[in-house]
Amino acid sequence: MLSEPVAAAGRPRGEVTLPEALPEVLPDALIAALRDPEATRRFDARTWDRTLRQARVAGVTGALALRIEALHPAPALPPAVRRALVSARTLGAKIERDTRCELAVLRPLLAGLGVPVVLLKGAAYVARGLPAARGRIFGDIDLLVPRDALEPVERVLLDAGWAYGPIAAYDAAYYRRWTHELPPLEHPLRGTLIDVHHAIVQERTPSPAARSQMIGEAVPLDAPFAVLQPADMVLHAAVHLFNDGEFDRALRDLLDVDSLVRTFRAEDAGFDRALAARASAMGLAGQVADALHFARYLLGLDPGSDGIAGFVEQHRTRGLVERCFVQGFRPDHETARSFGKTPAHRLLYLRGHYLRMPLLPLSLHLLRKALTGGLHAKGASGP
Amino acid sequence: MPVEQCRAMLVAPGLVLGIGPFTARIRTPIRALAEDVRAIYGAHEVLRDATAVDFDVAVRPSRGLRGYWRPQARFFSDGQEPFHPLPLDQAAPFLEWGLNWCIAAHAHDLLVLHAAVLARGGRALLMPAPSGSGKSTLAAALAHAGWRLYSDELALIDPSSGRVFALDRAANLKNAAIDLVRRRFPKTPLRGIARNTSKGTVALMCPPLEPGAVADASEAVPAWVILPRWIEGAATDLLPIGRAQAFLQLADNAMNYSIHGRRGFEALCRTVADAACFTLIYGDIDEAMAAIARRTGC
Repeated sequence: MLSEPVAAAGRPRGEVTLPEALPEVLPDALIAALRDPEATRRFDARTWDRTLRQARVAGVTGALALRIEALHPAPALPPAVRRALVSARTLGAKIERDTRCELAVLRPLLAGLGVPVVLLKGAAYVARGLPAARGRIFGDIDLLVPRDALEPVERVLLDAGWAYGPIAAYDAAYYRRWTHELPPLEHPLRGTLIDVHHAIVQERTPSPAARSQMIGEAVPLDAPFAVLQPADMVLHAAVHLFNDGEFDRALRDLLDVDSLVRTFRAEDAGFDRALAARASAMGLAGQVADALHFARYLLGLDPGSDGIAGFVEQHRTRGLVERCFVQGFRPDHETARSFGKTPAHRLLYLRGHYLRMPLLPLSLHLLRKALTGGLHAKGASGP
Repeated sequence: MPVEQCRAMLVAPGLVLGIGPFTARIRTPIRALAEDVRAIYGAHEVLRDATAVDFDVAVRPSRGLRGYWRPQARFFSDGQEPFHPLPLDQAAPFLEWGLNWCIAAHAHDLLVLHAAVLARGGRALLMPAPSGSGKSTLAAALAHAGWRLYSDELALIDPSSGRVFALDRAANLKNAAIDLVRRRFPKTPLRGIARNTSKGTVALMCPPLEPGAVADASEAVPAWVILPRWIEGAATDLLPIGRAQAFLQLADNAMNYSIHGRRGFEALCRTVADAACFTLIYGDIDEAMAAIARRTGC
């Protein structure tokens, strides 16, 4: 278990001593490079090879590229690594460009509805010009609208050519009943995917009033678009990371949290306090504390003021689930696997589902998924 | 490299090869595939195991029932499986398709086109075309006429210099093209012959080591763009075309054109501005070769 004294908050940056259990996450390749990019200057060819393999599997080559390219003077890189970083940056730029185009198409369509449309995750980072957008690989545009605007938004998108892909009736019903979004809408020509959410947290998470509050307090951009206010943006990234059940992209989601917190701290000296207060008010203190905790140890995020460090220690998850999270952050590659990885992933999958539906329907859902091969099946696309 | 040594390296820790501008670590316990790899990549540079490679791939037999009943091969890239398994006797083409996939999925530092590329005297001939237009057959024949076969599938264009890179991969021959190459070039080894694939019968033609061609540079300037189309019984017709038409055909066959945005557009503009562009309709390979020789002066 990660037992970390609060006193670490006072240590100088970059000299954080790792608690005992962290070698479990293999801080020798990808994690080491992300946490302390300077350390890559000492990487040999084998370590770089592992780093590149792990980064591709975890889908974070773009984030790695940004951190390595920020080094001065520029480090000498093996040709394959140099190429992979250029390639990731090129792909990241394309995704940013495509997202801007898609938003330009969506804006006039949705403007007529007279409801705020809150951009989430990648689209929000692009629209607000946040560093978190850079090099981030994502395939869908996430929109958050008030629950009673779901239907008009859906109708506008369907009329404009978006359509539901081939999705089983059961899965479609599952999306509407138990998740906080519509099934993904796909544009038949451009292939763009849109997820329309009516909440950023699952049905079972406490504080339902929080939902409308987040939309109400969103920061307007070009109407009807808006983005969550900074603390809520971090809250959402943290909830997405820890409640989703699919932990394959955990490291990428943690990089979002890390990048957002770094940006917002630089914008506002009181950000930590606002974040802790908001998290507690929304009943999401645990997720935010966990996100800050892991961002600190895996990605080198500054622990921040004593206040936020105390908040993290008070609220973060400990015990079995924490151990599962540690396993979950390991890149899913042979150079980073452990015996505990698969059971940990299964447990997180079950936990993600448990957080969104009561036990009886959950059992029936998982039984159905197991029988139809949907559970952990290769290429499974349903929820 | 002796066959036993090659086979042992392929089992563990992997055979690290320089393939054009890339490096790849290949692993496989499949004995038949080891021999194919040795034949196809015999002329390629073998690198130290301790290399940070561009692509880390493996072809492994399926376990369990599928190890015995209609045995299957599985392809892995970075330990992930991007494709469904294929029959075990397609292991060699599977590895080749898998490596092509790696290039198309990861090499966005370059503009990657679906095109055959041959080079001679530092100048390259690009033949962008969809499958079935006879570009592999034509490429195989040109590779026996003094051209260096860069690739019959992928053109790699450096967007900043406009130059194309050699891959020196085997040509992917299908169906009638296999018999044609066998008949005309009986000494050229064909490997990994597999029947009943999704593309019919396929075979890999090892790049012939013509004395003049090997010495040619591993980078070249695109000098000719030819859009080939094979039509049974058609009279050979090699016609100059406008740059715009050639551009569209190149862009249409590009695998990551949209990823490069403006840079990709400018790179292709440069290609068609510097190259002489033609369409080629042909029904007979000798006539087609003669027409290309006349136009290129090679």
